[in-house]
Amino acid sequence: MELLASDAVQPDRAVVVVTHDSRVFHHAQSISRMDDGRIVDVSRPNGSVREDIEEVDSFHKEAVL
Amino acid sequence: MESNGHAIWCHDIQKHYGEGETRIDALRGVDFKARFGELSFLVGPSGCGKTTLLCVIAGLLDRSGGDLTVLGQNLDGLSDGDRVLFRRKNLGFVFQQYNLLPALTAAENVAVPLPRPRFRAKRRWIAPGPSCRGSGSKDASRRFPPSFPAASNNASRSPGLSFTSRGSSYATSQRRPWTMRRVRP
Repeated sequence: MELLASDAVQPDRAVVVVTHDSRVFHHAQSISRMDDGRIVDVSRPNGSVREDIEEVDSFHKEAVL
Repeated sequence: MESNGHAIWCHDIQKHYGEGETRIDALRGVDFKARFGELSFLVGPSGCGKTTLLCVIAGLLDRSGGDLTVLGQNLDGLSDGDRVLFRRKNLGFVFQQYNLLPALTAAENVAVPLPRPRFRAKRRWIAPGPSCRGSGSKDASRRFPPSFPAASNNASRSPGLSFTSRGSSYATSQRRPWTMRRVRP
């Protein structure tokens, strides 16, 4: 996981990890929770707030509705 | 463009299997974004659609609806052949069950997808990069699959898969794709 995390920190790369293992969550810049075919929550555990968060949250609200 | 700053941009992605009474809606309008330079996690209970979403993003599954841009590219406009080339050049999967060829070493497994005409078989595995070495081990590149840990490392026993994508800049630059740079001829 350290290897993936270090690889992701490149301006031309992105890494998406599907996991059930909460022990590795601290590596994530963004955690999207899915349930029944929808994204029901998006969080950024490291506190790195980006300007698109509100937009994502509005998506989330629509998805929950 | 909506996908600016995002390696992956999904809006209202739908995916269903079957029709009528047997129809199963695996994705019911997914909005998902992954920024360049970030590690994004997809979590949720089994069967919630995580792997389906990943396969749709990677072009391994056709979606039933919604908009999708990967590395600035709308894959809908590509032929099947071009989509395969796009995947080979820009996208990588690391499965938890890693489907490695047991007769090949770690480095040789990494070299399998490299274009054969440009890399002679003898030279394809000579200089494996850090991805082959595993965490904590001196050099696992010449070991065979049963003796080295899962790709993500053995501290993670998660049941899912991880999916790495590399930037669109490779498509327009002279740089060699990541895998090739790590397995130098």
